[in-house]
Amino acid sequence: MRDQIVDDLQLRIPTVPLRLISQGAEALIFMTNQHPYLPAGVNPCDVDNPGKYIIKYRPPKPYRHPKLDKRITATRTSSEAKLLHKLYQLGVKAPKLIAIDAPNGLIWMEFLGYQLPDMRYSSLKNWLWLLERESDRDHPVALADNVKDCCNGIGRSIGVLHLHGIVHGDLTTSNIVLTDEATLKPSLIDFGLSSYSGLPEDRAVDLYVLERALKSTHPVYAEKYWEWILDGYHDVHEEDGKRGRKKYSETISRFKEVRMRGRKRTMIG
Amino acid sequence: MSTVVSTATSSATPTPLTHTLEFKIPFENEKQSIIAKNSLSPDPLLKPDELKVSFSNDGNVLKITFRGTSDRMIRVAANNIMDNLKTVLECFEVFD
Amino acid sequence: MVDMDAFAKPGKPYYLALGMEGSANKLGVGVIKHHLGPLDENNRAEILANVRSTYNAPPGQGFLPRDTARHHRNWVVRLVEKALKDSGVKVSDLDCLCFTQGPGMGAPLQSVVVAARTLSQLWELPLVGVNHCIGHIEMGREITGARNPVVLYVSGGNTQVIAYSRQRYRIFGETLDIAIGNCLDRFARTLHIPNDPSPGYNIEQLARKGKHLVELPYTVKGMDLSMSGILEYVDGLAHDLFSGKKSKYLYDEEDGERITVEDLCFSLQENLFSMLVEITERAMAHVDSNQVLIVGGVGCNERLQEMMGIMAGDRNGSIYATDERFCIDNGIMIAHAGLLAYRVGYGNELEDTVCRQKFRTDEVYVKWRDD
Repeated sequence: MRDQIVDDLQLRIPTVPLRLISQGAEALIFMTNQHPYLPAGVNPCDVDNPGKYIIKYRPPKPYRHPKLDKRITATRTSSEAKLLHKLYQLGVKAPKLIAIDAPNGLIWMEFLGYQLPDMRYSSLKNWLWLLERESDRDHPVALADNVKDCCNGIGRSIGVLHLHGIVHGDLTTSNIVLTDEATLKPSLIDFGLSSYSGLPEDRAVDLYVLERALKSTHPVYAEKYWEWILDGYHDVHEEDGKRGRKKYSETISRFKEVRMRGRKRTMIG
Repeated sequence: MSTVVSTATSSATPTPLTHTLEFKIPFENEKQSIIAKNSLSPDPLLKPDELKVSFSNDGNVLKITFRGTSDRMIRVAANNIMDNLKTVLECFEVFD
Repeated sequence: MVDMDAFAKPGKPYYLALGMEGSANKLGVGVIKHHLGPLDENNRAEILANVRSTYNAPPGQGFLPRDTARHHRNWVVRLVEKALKDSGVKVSDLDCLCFTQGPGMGAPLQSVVVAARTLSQLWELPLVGVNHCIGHIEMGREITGARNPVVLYVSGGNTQVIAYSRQRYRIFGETLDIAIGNCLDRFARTLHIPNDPSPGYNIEQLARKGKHLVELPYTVKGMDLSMSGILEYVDGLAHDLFSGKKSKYLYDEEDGERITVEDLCFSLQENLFSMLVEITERAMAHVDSNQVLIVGGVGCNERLQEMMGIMAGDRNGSIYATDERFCIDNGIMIAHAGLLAYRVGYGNELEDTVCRQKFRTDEVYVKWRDD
């Protein structure tokens, strides 16, 4: 089935070489060296990895009713593209938008990330797993300063998003990548479920989803990671001044509520 | 099924638990009386400040004492115990 | 490898457990047999009895804790008697007595644990308190043979996506407000359709006749989802439909036909189940698994199973589901999960048998697995 999806896409864009690099739940991620409209060998300036582009393809989901499927695919694709552009304008680190074909569920964007020493892609998840494997009582490398700085940076990025009225909608450690081996600068990716919202509830759920993802994916060190992320989240609000502080306290108190709701909800049957 | 002696009194003691009710339930033997006590007693009360229930065995008799701030408090707890007691007795009837 | 026989009785080549379940409106009693050694395809658990009695509220109403507890009290001893008779097992041959310790409704849980405590003393058997969700998961694994699946647990009170990691069943996604079964039950009440055999089953039958897809909110948030807004919206549509309103949104945009109750059931199912399949697929991608196990009462829904099957097939994986004997609450799953726990040394003292309405799946240390 996966091969079928890849073939279908290749038929639609026959001149573009495609290499499948991951199959997420919602989309297939391809790598290509072909820019959608620049001649071969010519690359736009100001991209992290010239000659490497990501094509994100949301294939039809045969389990969904076709009408529902079309609606979801087109909405998510175009809202993701709009958001990527908005983030570029705001100067937030995120993949730069190159091209979009909403009805077909296609987005071309800049490639971010590099290869980890264990040959895997530099998602936060893979990086932390690598460090967690190498950690022991005497050398908890998963709790080193560079992890702390990286977590702070993640908290700051989420904070900037929230300060601009954007919620990510799917914060997991797979959706955060390290963009540079030397600086470990993090970037959020996959804005497919993102939206504009001024509600503290939505920002709180954003944080709650990430906290839960940390706990389930990185059970041993989750608490520390989460503390550092929240520090960064706090700082960026603090630097924003009075408005930021107000927003921060609204979000955090709502976050505590959402957390309690999760724990206290009666579960029957 | 069993003899129930109840005395709801308003005493002048300083404790706010002014109302009391006492059940004395005779079983066929001491073993049953102890089992009943062990089956009924573990569950905590909703409002321990307003109601206290104590269980004790005297031979084949199980004594349950309710002390509460109001007769309503006691009635709710006593009804619940009676309901559960029916289950205990049915277990004895069928399986002992 | 976990030693599953450290507590075996000398000279006895098998274990027997009786399980009692009453956390919601079903009362169930089951008897299960394990042979020595780890369970696998050549050493399956044997179901010796599995009996159930369901309390159904009148149409338009949900089941209330008090009435449900009364039902359980009326039936619990008779059901234990029946299960023992069906199984042909002597009480003296049982190894332990298992009961649901939570999560669930307080009064019904308590009505069953009182019987469990009494019987355990009469029969001099150890008690094992079981987490209801763990019961569903372990029974599902045993019946289907799924080894390490992502579990979608969908019932009247629960909507969770669960995966095993480091000796716990961890919750990857769940509802942020109401449970899927609750959402369907409440919509059934709005429509005043019967609660027998279950509100969800009756919605499923109506949905089969629906043909227009009505647009409803679609609210997935990462691996979590929210359903109360959808219920409110579709309830509103139903009320407008019943009151004879002629608004544009009550007609299909393509063929102009008026929307029917069946269309609403169909659209609600399509929408909610798409969300469930989506979060399950997210969890599968996240933990790199291609097996999915559906448990819980809503797991009987054939459309949900079909959609999940298509998704799993696209991931070159497979779906595991059980029929109503096991996906609807039952006593056998409590016996099975309780016996697994008993075999690695779990057991509850009498004072330690208090039921907990909010007993979370990830609180249980899964000592009987070490993969």
